[in-house]
Amino acid sequence: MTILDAITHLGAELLMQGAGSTEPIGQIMACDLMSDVLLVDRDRVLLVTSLATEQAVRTAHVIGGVGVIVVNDKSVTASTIALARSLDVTLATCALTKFQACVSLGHYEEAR
Amino acid sequence: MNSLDLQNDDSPLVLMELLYRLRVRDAMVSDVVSVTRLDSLRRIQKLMKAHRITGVPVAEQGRLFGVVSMGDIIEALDGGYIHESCALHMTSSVVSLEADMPLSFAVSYFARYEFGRFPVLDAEGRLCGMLSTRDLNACLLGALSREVNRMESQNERGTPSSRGYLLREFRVKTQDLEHAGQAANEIRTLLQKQGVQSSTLRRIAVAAYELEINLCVHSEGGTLSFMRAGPRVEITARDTGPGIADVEWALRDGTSTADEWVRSRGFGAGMGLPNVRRAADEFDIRSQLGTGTTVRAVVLLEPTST
Repeated sequence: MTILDAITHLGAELLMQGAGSTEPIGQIMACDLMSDVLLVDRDRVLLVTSLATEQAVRTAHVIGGVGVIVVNDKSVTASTIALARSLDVTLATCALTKFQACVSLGHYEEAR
Repeated sequence: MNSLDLQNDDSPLVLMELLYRLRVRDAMVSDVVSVTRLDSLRRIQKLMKAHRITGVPVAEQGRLFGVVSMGDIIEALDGGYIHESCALHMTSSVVSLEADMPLSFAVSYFARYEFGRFPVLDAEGRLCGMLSTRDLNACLLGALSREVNRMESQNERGTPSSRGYLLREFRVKTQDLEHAGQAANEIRTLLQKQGVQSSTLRRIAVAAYELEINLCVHSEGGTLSFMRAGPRVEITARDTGPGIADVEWALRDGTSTADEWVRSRGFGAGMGLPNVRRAADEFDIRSQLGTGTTVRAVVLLEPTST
């Protein structure tokens, strides 16, 4: 599954498409605490979070993640989108809750 | 002292890197012999002789009022006013250094002015040390010696040469969470372009990011410096306060003094310093209440990361 697959499946809105968006996701992490995200030691992490801030994008970039899907229908500021563009991090927003998004992505992955 | 041309591209990179990495506080003498404005020039003459120094700052409760030099004492002896108060004869328009300035500033000051020593002030403008050319030379020689030893040790182990020094320094403002992470992002991008492996890249970026967040959240502001010297990447965070009361406690997982605002931004879980230590091959931390904290994390690149 790529982040573009996940975005399409969740009906999310793609705000910025990064270079690695067509490569397979290594791990999905659903978390609002960036301190915990920074403990991950995996490549190509997809971050699912309700934290609609620049720090979510910065954190995804720091860990070498494929991108960020912001849940709970939160609005993402223009400066956050601009940051995602400058760091080449895929960014999307979706209306589902974090729990709903995770369950949906789990079912999607099982069915593949 | 012969001046060193800091703008000259031919200057050795190792020396240039040291001059920008080392701070005035690393070279200064902090156990300062000082006098008050009421002290006589005779007393200062005796202090100079006893401590083998050629200049004494005049300061009261940390506030610097002037400097009395050996030249002032000689003039007082010639003029017959050696018993008078130093306040009447000291040099009151003093040129001083700041403790957090890179040592390159000190080199420039010694070249620009004809003084043999400078008083050093802390971030609050209080006298915290003195720096003479002898102190500066001793510090530089010590640092150069350590650097040469390290390079020789690397060569013995067959590691890549230390060519290609890379140095960046970032200022981190306190409570500016909006911009915290800029340095870590830049460091990651820089090393990614140099072909550093992804897992190593992540360790370096995470260490830099955690230190940057700590500077922003817990300190009164400071600097994050990044240096790559061959296979060695060093990240150093320096701040000027408030310092950590119990470093061992701060290094435990889950201990934090962060407030709700910080937690609402996704940080403050008390994982920062332990995570830096986990990510680093070498880690050390020095902290003193009221003075500040310096954390250094070193990550060694794999042989293929050139």
